[in-house]
Amino acid sequence: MRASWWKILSVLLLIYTFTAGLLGEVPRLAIVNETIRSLYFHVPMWFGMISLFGASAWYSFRYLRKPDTTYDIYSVQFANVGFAFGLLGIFTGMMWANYAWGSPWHGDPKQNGAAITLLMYAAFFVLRMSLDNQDQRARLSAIYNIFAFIAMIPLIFIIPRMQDSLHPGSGGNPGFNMYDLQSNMRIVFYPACVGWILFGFWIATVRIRVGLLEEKIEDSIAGDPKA
Amino acid sequence: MLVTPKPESTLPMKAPMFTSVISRIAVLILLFSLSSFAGLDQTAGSDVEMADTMRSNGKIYVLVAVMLILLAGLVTYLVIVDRKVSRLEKRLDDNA
Repeated sequence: MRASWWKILSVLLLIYTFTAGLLGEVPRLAIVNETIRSLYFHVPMWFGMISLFGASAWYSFRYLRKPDTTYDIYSVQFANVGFAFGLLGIFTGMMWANYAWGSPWHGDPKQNGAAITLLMYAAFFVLRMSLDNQDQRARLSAIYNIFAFIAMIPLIFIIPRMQDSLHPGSGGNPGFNMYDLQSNMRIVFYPACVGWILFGFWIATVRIRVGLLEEKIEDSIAGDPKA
Repeated sequence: MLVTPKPESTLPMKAPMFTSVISRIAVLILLFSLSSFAGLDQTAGSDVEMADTMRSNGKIYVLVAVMLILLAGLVTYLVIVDRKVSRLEKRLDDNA
C-alpha cells in the first residue's frame, strides 16, 4: 500500500482528465452543450464507488472466513471512501441534471437506485455505531455489507435498464451509446475512470493504514502492564 | 514499552497484493483504451451553441488552470498525510 507508482499514475491521469476534459473535442449536442464534459467527472465517481464497495465486500467476505480485525478495518474504510464517492456522484448528477434535464431530481430509476444504495450503506455505518462489542460489530457489519453490495447490483445496473429514463443507456445498450461515445470522448473518459478509481483507492489505503496504526497502538496499550 | 505485535500483524503485507491487483487491472484498461486514439473524428460544425467564445478568447485556459491548482492542492495534502502515516508506521515498527 505504500507503493508510489500507481499513486503517481493516478495524479497524472487526473491532470490529463482535467486538461483534456476541458480543452478536448466533444460532440456538439443540443441540450447538453458543453456539460457533456461532466461525463469525465460524474460517471467515474460511480465506477469509483462500485469498485470501492466491491473491495469492501471482498474484505467482509474474507472476515467471515477468518475473523481478523484487520479485514474489518479494510472493509469499513473502503466502504467509507466508496460512500464519499457515491455522495459526490449523486450531487454532481443533480447539478448536471438541473441544467440538462430541467430539475435536479426526476425520479429517474438510476437516480433512485443510487440513492437507495447510499441509504443502505448509511445504514451500514449506523449499524456499526450501534454495536459496542468489536467482534459482534465486525461480524454483523460484514454480513450486512455483503448483502448491501449484492442488493446494489440490481438497483444500479439491472432495474434502470429495464425502464425508460433520461439516463444514457437505459432501455437499450449498457453505457454511454446515447452520446455515441466517439473516440474523442473515449480517449479522455477511460483514463479518467482509471485515474479516479486509483485516486479513491489511494485515499482508502491511507485511511486503512491509519486504522491499522490505531489498532496496533490499542493493542500495545492493552498489553502493556505499565500503561 | 510496546508489546511485540501479534503474528496477525503481518497480515497487512498481504494487502499490497490486492491493491496491486487493482492497480494492474487499471493499467491494463488504460492500455486498451489507447487504441481509441486511432479513431479520432472530425466534429462537424453545426449550430449547436458551445463555449466557442471562451475558447477563442483564451479564458478556457484560465478555467483549466484554476482546476489544476485545486487538484494540485488536494493532491499535495494527500501526499503530506500519506508521508505522515508512513513516518508513524516506521516509528511504531522501530519501537516494537
